[in-house]
Amino acid sequence: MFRNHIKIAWRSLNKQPFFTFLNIFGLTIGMAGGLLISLYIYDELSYDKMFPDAEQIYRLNADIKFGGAENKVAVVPAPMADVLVNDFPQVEATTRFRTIGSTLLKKSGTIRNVKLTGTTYADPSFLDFFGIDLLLGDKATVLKDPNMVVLTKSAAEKFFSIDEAVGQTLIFDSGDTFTVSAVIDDLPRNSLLSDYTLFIAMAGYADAKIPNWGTHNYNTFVKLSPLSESADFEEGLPYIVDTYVLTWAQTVFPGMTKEQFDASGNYIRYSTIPLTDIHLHSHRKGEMNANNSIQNIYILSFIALFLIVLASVNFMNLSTAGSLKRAKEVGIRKTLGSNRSTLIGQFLTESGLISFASLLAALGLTLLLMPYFNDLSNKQLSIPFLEPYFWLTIIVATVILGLLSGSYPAFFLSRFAPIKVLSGSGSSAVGGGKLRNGLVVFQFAISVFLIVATLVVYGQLQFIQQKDLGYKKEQVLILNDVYALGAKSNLLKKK
Amino acid sequence: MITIKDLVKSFRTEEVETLALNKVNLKVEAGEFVAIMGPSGCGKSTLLNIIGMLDNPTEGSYNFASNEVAGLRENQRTQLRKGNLGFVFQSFNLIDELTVFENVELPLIYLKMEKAERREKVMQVLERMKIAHREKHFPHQLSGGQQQRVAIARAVVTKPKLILADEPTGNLDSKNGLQVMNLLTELNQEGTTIVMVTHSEHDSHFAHRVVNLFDGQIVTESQNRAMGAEV
Repeated sequence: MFRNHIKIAWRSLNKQPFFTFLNIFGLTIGMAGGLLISLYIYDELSYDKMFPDAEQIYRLNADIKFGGAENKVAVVPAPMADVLVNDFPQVEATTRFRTIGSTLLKKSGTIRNVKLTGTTYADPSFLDFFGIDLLLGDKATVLKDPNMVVLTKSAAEKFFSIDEAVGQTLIFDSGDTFTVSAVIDDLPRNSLLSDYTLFIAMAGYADAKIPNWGTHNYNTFVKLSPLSESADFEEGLPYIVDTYVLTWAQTVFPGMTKEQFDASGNYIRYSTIPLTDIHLHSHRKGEMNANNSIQNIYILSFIALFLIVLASVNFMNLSTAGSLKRAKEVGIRKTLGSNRSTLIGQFLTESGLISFASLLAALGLTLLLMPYFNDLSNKQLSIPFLEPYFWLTIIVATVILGLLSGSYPAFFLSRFAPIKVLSGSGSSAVGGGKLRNGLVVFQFAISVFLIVATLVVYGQLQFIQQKDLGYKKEQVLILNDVYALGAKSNLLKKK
Repeated sequence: MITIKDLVKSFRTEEVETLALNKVNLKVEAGEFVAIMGPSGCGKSTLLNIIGMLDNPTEGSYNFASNEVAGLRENQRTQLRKGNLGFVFQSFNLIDELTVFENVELPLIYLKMEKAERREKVMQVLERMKIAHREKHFPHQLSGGQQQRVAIARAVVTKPKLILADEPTGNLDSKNGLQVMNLLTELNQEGTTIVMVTHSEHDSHFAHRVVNLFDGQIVTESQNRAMGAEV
């Protein structure tokens, strides 16, 4: 029976090539759009999950109100990490970063500076903490001494061949010299460390050693023991304020009591956020990386679903609109002994075939569009052809899409009474179907909405491009890192 | 084989109710060849559809081979129809996407018959209808007469107890029409019961009995001396 369904489906589709093309084309566009967006969403949801023990890692946050200003920051004071390890039994390890943006540096013996973006002071523990292996270097000594640095592979390649990188000297623009103690692989693109290429030993950063609870500059991470609850840990954080921060504050404001501090309306509150939530749920000052928002993910998920639903509705409309052509066949089959479920099976086979053809076309289209999409999204996405889960997911999704798209036409077509369609009552035999009218109205409304939205965006772009900025853009040159010229920067200005 | 008692079929629209069949009583014995005649709109196709279990009566009783059909649901009617009834339509009603062989094979597929047995039965009936050489052709590649022979082949391939023919020669020229009537007569002589709706006086002479309908009621019934197969 199934073979017969396939044969009939194939011939029916072949018989109406334009109709088949329209159906496949519509579904292909929807599926390709849905697939691209899904890959994007999957990538966004995968942030920082590659680190071992990622589920046990949390970052410390601080909400600070002082002198009227209120700040929510992703950084805490330098001494916090040691206190956490010493005073909280559930803390297994901590590590800190003190980001400093970009640096200009050169290989010893050369004169040309190279700019490295993503520079940070880091505790030596960060490698073990995040399970990062060394490509070259000795883990026992790495970043242990001041003036030691770790480079990522691509950063190291800007100065040396990788094999000879360890032990080499780099001269910073400030004149300080550093020794390369290790080289690590480039950090995962979908991690909060992705932008970082140069890690300088925290041991050489004097500020990190001062017990100053008043400045918040260190991205600090804790790894909790597997059995501990982050909520329990977080409950203990006010203890730090009471015990350390206020004590320090009293050295700056002698005689100030906790009651006075509280009464002033000022506060410092520490909290945690799971490592794997940072990318989509954290928007604080002092983030290590530009984060995205979970709202965007919800919106994109809605758009992906919307695209697929729209394609599916298009399929239903086309199928039911062409139903007159199939009515006779339904009548004959019923007369010859086919029951409704067999007919439903036949029409679902057809929609399944269209869905799978669309899936193949959508995969091709996705491959074709991927470079442009990557440019647009600033990602390096690819279709994970070798992942069994990918195939499982898209095949299940395609079957569901085929069933959903085909279900209405299948139930609609199989409902035809043979007596009416065979006696040639025409369209009145087939019936109108309020649902079909509803679907057409839905499609039309969406089309109008999209056209209006496109016109609005077009208008905005025109405005941006044509707005008189008061200067000629073509005549303006931006010179980066002029500070490297030091006193000579004024000379450049005069020129 | 068929006993119909006080059969009523009415069609209701928002404004009017039309009585297509009004207290029809009819008996058809096994092996009979009955022609139903009457002017357009008299209810003959409605009666044929009810006999063919494609439609349910509004009132009355329809007994087919000791089974009460009136009131059965569509799926139950389909089950009863399967293998027991064969249909021949005026417009042939072959499935365009299927070859001659596949069209004739279809009722056997619905009976869940094995492939080898299906092939044997289909080829037998195609040979008999002298259309076996066209087994791989599609309906649009055949003449009207050939298409109707395929339709008859499809109707008889399950060896049904009853064949229902709705104007079987209506779309054929006289030569092809005669061939079709001869085929139906042969099948009847082999024991198949046939009920045929026709406008054609000529075709009605092939039947044993002619039932005349008018305004949804049987007005006359007459016995024929069957013409038998002509060449």
